[in-house]
Amino acid sequence: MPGTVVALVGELGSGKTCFTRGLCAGIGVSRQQVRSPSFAFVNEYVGKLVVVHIDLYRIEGVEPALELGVLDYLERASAGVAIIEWADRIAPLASDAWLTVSFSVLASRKREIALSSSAERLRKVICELEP
Amino acid sequence: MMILSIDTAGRSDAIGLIDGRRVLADFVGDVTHNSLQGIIMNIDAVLSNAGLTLADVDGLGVGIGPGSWTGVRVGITVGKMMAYATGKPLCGVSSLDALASQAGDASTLICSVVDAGRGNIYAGFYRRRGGVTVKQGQYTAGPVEGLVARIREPVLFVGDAAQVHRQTISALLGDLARFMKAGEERQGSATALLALSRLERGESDDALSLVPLYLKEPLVQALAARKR
Amino acid sequence: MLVLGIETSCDETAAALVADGHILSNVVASQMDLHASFGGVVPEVAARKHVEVIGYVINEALGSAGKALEDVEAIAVTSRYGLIGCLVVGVAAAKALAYTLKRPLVGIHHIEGHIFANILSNPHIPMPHVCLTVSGGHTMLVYVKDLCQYEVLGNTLDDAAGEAFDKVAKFLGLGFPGGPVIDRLAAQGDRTAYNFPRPLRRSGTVDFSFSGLKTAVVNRFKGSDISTLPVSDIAASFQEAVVEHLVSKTVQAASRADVSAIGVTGGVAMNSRLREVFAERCRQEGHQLFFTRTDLCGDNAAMVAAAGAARLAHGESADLYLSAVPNAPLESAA
Repeated sequence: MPGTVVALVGELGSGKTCFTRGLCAGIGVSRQQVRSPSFAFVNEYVGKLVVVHIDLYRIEGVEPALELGVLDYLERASAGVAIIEWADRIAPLASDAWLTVSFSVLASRKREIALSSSAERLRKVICELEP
Repeated sequence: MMILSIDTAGRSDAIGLIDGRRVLADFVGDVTHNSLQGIIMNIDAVLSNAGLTLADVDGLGVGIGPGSWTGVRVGITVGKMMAYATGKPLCGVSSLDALASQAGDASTLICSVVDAGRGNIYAGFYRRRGGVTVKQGQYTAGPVEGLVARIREPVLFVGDAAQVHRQTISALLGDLARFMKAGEERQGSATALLALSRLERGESDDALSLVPLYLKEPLVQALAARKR
Repeated sequence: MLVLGIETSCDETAAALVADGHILSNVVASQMDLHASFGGVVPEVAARKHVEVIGYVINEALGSAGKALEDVEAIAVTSRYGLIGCLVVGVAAAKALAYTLKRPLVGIHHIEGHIFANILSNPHIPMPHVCLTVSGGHTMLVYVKDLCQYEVLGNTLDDAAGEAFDKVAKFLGLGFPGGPVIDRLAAQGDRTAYNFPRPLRRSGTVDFSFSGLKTAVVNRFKGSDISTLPVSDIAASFQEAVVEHLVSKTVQAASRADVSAIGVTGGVAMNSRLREVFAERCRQEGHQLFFTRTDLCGDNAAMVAAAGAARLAHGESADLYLSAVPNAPLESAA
């Protein structure tokens, strides 16, 4: 859905980029295109919707994120989807209406994923996803 | 003094060319624009339409923001490098001040407003004193509602962002809120005229060290407060 | 031809003067001592502070080469591949200077810059050859058919090699950037102590992958008290896996492309173990090996100036509508 912001929170190796790849595949972005933006901060892909893939791993807080133009990128993503890895780095900018996905490592090949949002339409989606 | 000015902090680029207080050119670009792509050719067009070249210019003015963090960088870098390459004096001008100066001889409080993204704005308050637009207090950043809540007198709003938030502002302020007429917004020469005042006094900024006015702290505080 | 190169694609702000393959100056903001040069109120030299330091960096590039702006005959700037908020500063500066001085302008792709860092370092490198660009942000294998003629053979599927170094180093509490400190520690460690998985070993492609390796290291030692870990051994073993992966895929690509020469460039090209293993493998396989000079491995503007000179010699230049394109592919036109 256009305008959705997906906030991914979880430690190194917990599966954030992997999840992003799957999410992008569903939007028509091929898996090979999705790479880690940790160094360059932002990758953009074009599928059925524009996907702005942001990675805040190298960002220390809100101010450097603003300098990077994170607000401009979120603006660009309003017609598509924004996926933000390490979204907790910009907690003050976050909105409860974002879809927050938290990752925990249970074992070397096991992850636990929890979804939450205060936005009504996203809550409906989350309920549908319940196993 | 012949002054060329540019301001790329807003939704459209503004270029001004003045000869003393006489406005030779007043260019405002399209709203759906790429500042970086068009700025040099637009400057060239403004100069050549006036039958002038960069060499004929005595001083440069550049908008330093606040506004789009990426947008303002384009103008300020172009201004810095032109000043560096020509040795001409450079004046940085706040984009909020430039907007406010366009209100002319307003009898009321003036409030210039620039978009800050995510429902926030940057704003400055001014009054006309002896033919000069004088800033009142500090610049602020934050949600429109918060800004407007402190106003208790008639105020003239200037800036594209004021039009964007017009409904909210009018709902909160009723008759106290006035707006510059559409079409009167954004004059390219405003930045040049403000630069002129300083340059006439022999004041200028150092080209290499001039930096944007980001208003980082007020914006970060406003964003954090909003979260709470 | 005296070319002024400007580079602001990501973290670094850089300017350089290059004349016919000779580097007259190569200034990189993070290595400048601004206080020494200018005293007084100087901007903080930090990553991505391009607007703050671009003027100083260009001024220093001219001054340390003993040249004036008027001596500059052409301007080359990284305009493709990087962060938009960063690229715009370099491109705006380059356009303003090109217009004011009335000099030709050319926009360069950041990876092409790295390929030229290798060519600048090794002017007689044979064409065609295969070039590995490996850094914090990129891990790319390119078939360099001739100057300015490229074909991308392989890329990372996830993290860049340098990024993997940074993340593992951070996890081990070693600080940033991770590459140099892991390189140093690994020299004292046992590279056979741990057998981390070699990525894409059975894959026929010449792509790279480091995310699984990074995760393997992190998950193996997570929960342990870092101070009790044999950090040198872990560093050495991790580095060994990265190096083997980079070398084997590159040599494979060179053999498939039927070229005898391999170029290695980018920040990670400074890694000592990578250089050792590459030298060994190339000796075995009979490939000629060309490394980029260490002062040109990181992001810099001398490589951009060199690429610019080559493009201009090919008759290419940009007009003053040149814009910044963050995601441009290497093979794209200027």
